[in-house]
Amino acid sequence: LSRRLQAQLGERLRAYYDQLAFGEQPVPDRFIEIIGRLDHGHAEKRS
Amino acid sequence: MTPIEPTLRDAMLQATPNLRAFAISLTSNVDRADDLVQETLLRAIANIGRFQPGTNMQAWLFTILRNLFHSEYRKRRREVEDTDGKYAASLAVQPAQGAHLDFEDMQKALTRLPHDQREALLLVGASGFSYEQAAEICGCAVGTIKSRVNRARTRLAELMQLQDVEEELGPDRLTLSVMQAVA
Repeated sequence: LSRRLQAQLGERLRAYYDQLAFGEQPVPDRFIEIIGRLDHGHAEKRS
Repeated sequence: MTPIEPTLRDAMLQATPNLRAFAISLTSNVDRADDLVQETLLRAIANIGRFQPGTNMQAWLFTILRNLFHSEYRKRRREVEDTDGKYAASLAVQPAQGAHLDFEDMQKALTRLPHDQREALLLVGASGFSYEQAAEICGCAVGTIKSRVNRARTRLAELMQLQDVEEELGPDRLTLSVMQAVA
């Protein structure tokens, strides 16, 4: 593939990925809650 | 338990959107992806003592997620192409109207790539990992990752019907559109 086509593909791939990663709710609440356990010393407890 | 430094939590939070995008792209299913991310975060927290401060949290989380995907989820062999659009409909994140076709094209094309190629392309081309980091995450040689990425790019270009256009032979699209607009 030419560099131009590679660049075009890369741009479209990143645009697609960014929409998934940084859409309406990039980090759902349940993940924030799980990560928050780091602060509370509950790392050993699994729900 | 020793108090955890806030930077670890912050690093984990920061890595999560990319981790989730990777999981969605791997599984083609938002619910499965979120289960995978949840299990990854739980395992990471349970093993936080093994994380080497100063190393790349995102790479560590991606490695855990990838291993989970291969050891548990892939066995189910439920990965199917999104022929009926259910994957698109299930996405929590819907693109803006103007970008919808591009998004769908990419989504469909990715599901048609062989799994190892899709994974390599997502790590290097979308998640921003180097070839070396991607090789470490996948547990294979750097040359293998390079080869997979190259094949994935070629196949993706075919699937999306993207073609090389010689710029030197004529005006580019922008120039053409301006010419058409003023004609």
